[in-house]
Amino acid sequence: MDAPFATALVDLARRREDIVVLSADLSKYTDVLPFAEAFPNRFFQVGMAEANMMGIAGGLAKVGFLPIAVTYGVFATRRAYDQVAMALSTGASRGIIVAFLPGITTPFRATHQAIDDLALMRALAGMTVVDPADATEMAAAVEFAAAQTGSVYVRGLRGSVAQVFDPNGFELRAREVRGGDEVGLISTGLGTQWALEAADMIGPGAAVLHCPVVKPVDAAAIARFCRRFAKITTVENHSVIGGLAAAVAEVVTHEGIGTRIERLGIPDRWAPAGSLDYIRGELGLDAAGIARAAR
Amino acid sequence: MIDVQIPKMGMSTVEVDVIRVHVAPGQRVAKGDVVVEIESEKANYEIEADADGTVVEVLVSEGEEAKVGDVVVRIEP
Repeated sequence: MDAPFATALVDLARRREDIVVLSADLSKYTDVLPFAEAFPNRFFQVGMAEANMMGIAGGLAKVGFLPIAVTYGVFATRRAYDQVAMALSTGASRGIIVAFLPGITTPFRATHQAIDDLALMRALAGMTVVDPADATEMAAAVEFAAAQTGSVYVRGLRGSVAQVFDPNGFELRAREVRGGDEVGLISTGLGTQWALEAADMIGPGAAVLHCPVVKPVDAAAIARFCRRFAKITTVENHSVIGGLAAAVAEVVTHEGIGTRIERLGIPDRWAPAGSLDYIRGELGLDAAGIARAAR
Repeated sequence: MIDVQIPKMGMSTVEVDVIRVHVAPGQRVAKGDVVVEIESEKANYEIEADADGTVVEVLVSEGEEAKVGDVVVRIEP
């Protein structure tokens, strides 16, 4: 499906006049141009100034708008972290941040790899964090974020995005997307596509619990799933530190569940540069690597 | 004839900006020579010749936008 975020954003804006969109010199690469063309008076191009964009978003929120700040994950988090915290996380002002190039979807290295954004955003007080897995969830995440009462960080997928889930009657929530009783995988974002590939390789005994909302996680769903397995494997397009693996570990330890957790994601180093398939292979995140680790 | 194309660099790469064209028709190139420089996703990227040969056609201009898969240069080995 082409440009699911662009379509969902324009659709939402037609129904809600309080929606405004801000871009920091990345309109072409973040699928906001259709919105800018449809609603030029509600679109703000702030230039290459992500920190300022977050401050402006906070100000717009104060006067009644629902700002959607759109940029890359690295710029929304590492570059503008203090402004996100002060403008969108401390008071009544709330906004939505849509952050593209998640994890290792970029061909470039540390300058572009948002492998720590989930960890950073999970740590912000009151911030909801969403990592969509496909085009259906990318569109659903826009509606989900707009319906919340606090600020929301959404990882963005652009271009031609795979459609794994049926959009009819779709609800963005943790759910078992593949049943099985022998091998347990818990995943989020693109990691769910990878986990499903691995599960097909493992066979009918592999189960996959998909968690699109990384904060707050559905602790009950995770606890129920973990109790069925002696070991579960988390799969995410993010560092193994601070993201889904940490969220699952928090649930498992809080509930006193004895399940061992194998963490798959980007190890504690920058991933190499290259195509997504190449990087996945190098990091053991290809289907064979995940299947091997999960068994 | 060898077509040098805009590569699918990242999962999200759809379009790129042509920053600089390094070759002209009739020019000899060696495999690995930079033929076109592009910008995408806030980074520059050099596209190299896939083989030794002579440039017979340049299909992009500096400043224009190109899509992933577009042929930028044709080389006669």
